[in-house]
This record gives sequence, structure tokens and C-alpha cells, in this order.
Amino acid sequence: MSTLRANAATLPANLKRGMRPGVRPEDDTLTHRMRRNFFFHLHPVRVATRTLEPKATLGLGVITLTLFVVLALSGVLLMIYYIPTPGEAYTSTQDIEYAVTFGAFLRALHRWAGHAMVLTAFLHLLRVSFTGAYFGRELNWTIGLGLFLLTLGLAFTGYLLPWDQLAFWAVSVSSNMLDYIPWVGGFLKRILLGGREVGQAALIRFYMLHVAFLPGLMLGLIVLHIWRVRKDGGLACDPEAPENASSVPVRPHLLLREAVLVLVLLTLLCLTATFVTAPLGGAPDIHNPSNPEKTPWYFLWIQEMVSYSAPVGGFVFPGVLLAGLFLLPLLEREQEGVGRWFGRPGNPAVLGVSLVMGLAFFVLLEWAFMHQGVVSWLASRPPLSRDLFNPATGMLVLSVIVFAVTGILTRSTRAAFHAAIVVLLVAVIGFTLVAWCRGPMWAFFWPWEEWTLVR
Amino acid sequence: MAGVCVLSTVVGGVRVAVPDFEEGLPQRFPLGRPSDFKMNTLTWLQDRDLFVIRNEDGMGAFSCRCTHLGCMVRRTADGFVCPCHGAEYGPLGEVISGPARRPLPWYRLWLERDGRLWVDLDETLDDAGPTPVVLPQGDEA
Repeated sequence: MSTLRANAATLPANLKRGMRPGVRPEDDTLTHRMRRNFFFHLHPVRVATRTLEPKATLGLGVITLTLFVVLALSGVLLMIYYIPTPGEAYTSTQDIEYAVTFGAFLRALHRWAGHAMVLTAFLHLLRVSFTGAYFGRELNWTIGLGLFLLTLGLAFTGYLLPWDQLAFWAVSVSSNMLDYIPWVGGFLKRILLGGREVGQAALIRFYMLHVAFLPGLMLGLIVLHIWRVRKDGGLACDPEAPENASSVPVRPHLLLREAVLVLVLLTLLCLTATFVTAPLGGAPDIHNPSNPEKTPWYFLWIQEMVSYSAPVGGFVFPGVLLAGLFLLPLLEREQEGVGRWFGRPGNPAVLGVSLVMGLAFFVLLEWAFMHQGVVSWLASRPPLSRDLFNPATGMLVLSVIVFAVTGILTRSTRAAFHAAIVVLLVAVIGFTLVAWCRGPMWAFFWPWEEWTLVR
Repeated sequence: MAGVCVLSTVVGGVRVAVPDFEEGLPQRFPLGRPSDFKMNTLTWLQDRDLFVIRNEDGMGAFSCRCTHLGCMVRRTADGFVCPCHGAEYGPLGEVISGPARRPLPWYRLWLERDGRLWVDLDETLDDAGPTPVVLPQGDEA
């Protein structure tokens, strides 16, 4: 009994020691604590002073990771009420929106954080591209590409779950785009939908992908991604460059910045989720799409290209983009200027020129293809001419030309790749904006114009 | 060895995901009596995504799903147009302009002994257009 009393008296001390096995009191220093703590262990001990500047990374990796955590937590709570059957998906979403305490807040938080994550993952990809940070990190670049595709997959599978008119038709149209992938497209669509059309089988598959398979895969890849950054020597910078010579301890310099960034982000997210409700349309009419019927915004560029040519817009253009990104760190191996925006000092001017060229050519193409003359001339030609002559193919060809010309003039593979990426970026953003402006019967309307039925 | 384990798990997992059966409505079903469809009309059977046409040439059934990405086409003065990406079809579902490549598919239609018209969505016809249907006595509309 006296032993028990003695143990109870030393309980706090024993608890502290017992929960940290193998830690001797003399090891309880800052360095040891940082090595032991999993969260701290993700960080190195020192970082180059230059990589602490906000413009070095824009904090996009930390932001994207935070959004993932927010999405996982809010998603688990939403799962308590959501029922993935065609009969109850919509009504249970209505319950979350109108009856569950904090339901509307959670749904809005999940929705806006999901949209934001697509955007920040994309910006992170652009940041790593334009700072040449992929140099010598082929594996982690590929993991990052995989993470970006997973982000799109999670956003897309989540889009169907509210099972409202918008969700049902956006996913119907998007999954029919799979039919245009040669050889495997039909098979992919079959295992994704579990049938010919979006129904019960598709809903449960999307739900499984959204709450278990894709997040699990993503968590594993995130851990690998961050661990590889650490193993590859932290944030990319040229060790030879004089501006990278000075370094500071991670604690407090980096940790403080990260904490502030996360707190500001969480504040903004909570404010947005409180004041901007997540949209919920009417119950789906599975025989009657709205007019126009649009995919989620991050696939609008594909939908716009597909409206000209399904094989080019749905397969060739995204395929070339993906293959090009995959090959980027393998074909572009200049070490000079790694970690610096746009590489060599002269390169921003080159990119400015390709930006202007891309914009000019895009506007020209869109202007031409919105004139009835071009459209009806193409309609009288064999179907293949629509694949060869359309804005998507045009921008793809321009990016190849810009790539070759820049490479020859600057003798820099980085400048050539960056210039091509700029042109393709103009195309992706341009097509997204044009598709966003489309009204009934896919006719173009300026944002200030009222939608009318043209035909 | 590890590779074989991973590969067989992936292949087996994908095989599980391939649907072995499909739920939903049967592909072969009755449309109704011929007299339900008046001469020189086009009827939209919304719940089965079908158009049924009847004119001097006979009767026919064709899909109202756009062959581009599967939206429902809308009827216009001179054919059909798809609201999703603007594909245009003629009065018999032939491609006029826009992103669609294939015409709207026509399905085999026949008069069963029960006096009703039946359609089979698994049997598409090579030629577009209504085909003659022998009507039962007293069923001319």
C-alpha cells in the first residue's frame, strides 16, 4: 500500500518518463528534442537565410499540407451524416446543410478548402517549375506530380457526392470524356462508374475513392514527399551561390514563420466558411441536364477544348502536358540559378516575350473560331480537320515552336522549358475563362451580357 | 518476389473493381401500342432517353443522348442541338456540325404479338430513318 502511495506521488514524473522511453534527463536539450519529435524531425536544424524569404516558396507547400489536414478532419465529421446512396445522398447533404449543428460550416469549410487545395497544389507545381527546384530531384518531382493528380482526383470524386443537379451532370459529362482515351478509356470508365452511366454503382465507387483509397494514397505520398525534401538537402538552392552562404537555426526562425502562415490560413478559411455557404443545387434530374452543363472549374479548360475536338482536348493536350512535366527534370539539367525565380537574370525578359506571344495567338485563335465562317468551313471538311484545326492544337503547336526558338536563341534548356510552360499556361487559363463565359448551347457571352437562347 | 506480390494484388484488386453485373432497367422493353404515336410526330420518351418518330416511311426509335459526351440533345426547328458543347444534328440524328463524330444511334423496333412496339437498345441499326412497321388491324392512327 505504501508502494502504491509512493508511485501515486511520483505519477506526473513517471508519466513523463514512461511516455518518452529511452530519454535520459541529460538528453532533454533543444537539439535532442528536435531530433525526437516527429514534427520537428521533418525540419533540418539550419536553413539558408534566403529560403526564409516569403518569395522563395510563397509558403505554398505548407499551405497545401495544412489544407489537407483541414480536409481530412472536416471530411471525417461529414462522414457521420452522409449516406452514399442515390436515394439518400442528396437528402443527407441537405440534413448536413440545414439540420446538423455546425453542418453548414463544416460543409463550406470542406468545399472551400478543397477548391483552395487544387489551386495551391497547382501554384506549388508552378513555383517549383519556375524556380528550377526540380533539379536533381527526379523522384520527388514525380511524387509531387502524383500528389497533384491525386488532388484533382479527390476534388473530382468529392464533386459527385452532394448528388445535386450540378454534381450529377458535371460528373456524367467528365467521365464520358474517358471514352476518348484510346484503348483503355472504355475500360477505365467501366471500373470508375461500375456501369454505363452514373448511378448507385458510380456513387459508392466515388465515395470509396474519396474517403479511403485516394486520401490513404495521398497521405503516404505526402510523407514520402516531405521526407525526400529533407533527404535532398532541404529547399532547393544553389550551394555555390554567395547569397546562400548564411544560414539560421530552424527554431525559431522557420517554425515561427510556418506557425504564423498556418494560423493566418486557418483564420481566412474559417471566415470564408462562416460567411460563404457551399452551393447546393436542386435534386438531380437524371434525364435533363441544365443548359449549359459545366464540369468543375478545374476541368473547364478540358471541356472547352473538348467542345472543338474530343480526342485532342480530352487526351492529346492533357497527355502532352503531363508527359512534358514528367520529363522536365530529366531533360532540363542546368544547375545554374537553381532555386531562383526564372533562372538566369535574362530569362524573365524571354518569358515576357513568350507570354505576349501566347496571349496574342490565343486571342487570335478564339476570335477566328468564334466566327461562323470558320466554323461552317470546318463543318464541311472531313472530321479529322477539326482535330488538326482548333485552338487547342494551335496553342500546342505554338508552345513547341516557342520551345525550339527559345532553346536555339538562349542556348538554355531551362529558358526553353519555361517559355513553353508559359504558353501552355496561357492556354489552360484562357480556355478556363472562355469556358466560364459559355452560356446556353455553349455559346459565348461576355460576363456582363445576359444569357439568351441563340438558336 | 515482392514485385510479384504487389503486381498480383494490383491485378486482383482491379479485377474486383470490374463490374460483373449491371443494375438498372432492361435493354429490351415495350414502348407502347403503335396508336400511342400519331402520324408525323416525334415523341420524346424522357425516362428511357429515346425519341420515337412516326411518318409515312414507318416508325423508328433513336437515342436522345449526344454521341459527344452523353448530354440530352434538344429539339430545334431543323433537327437537334446539344446544350453541353453545341453539337448539331439533322432531323434524323445525322451530324451537321460541332464536336460530335457519330450520328445519334437508331435501335431495332418491332411489333410483338402482344400488339405493342418493342425496342432493343443493344441492337443498333446501320441505317438511320424510320422503317415500315406492319400495323395490326384497326390500329392505324
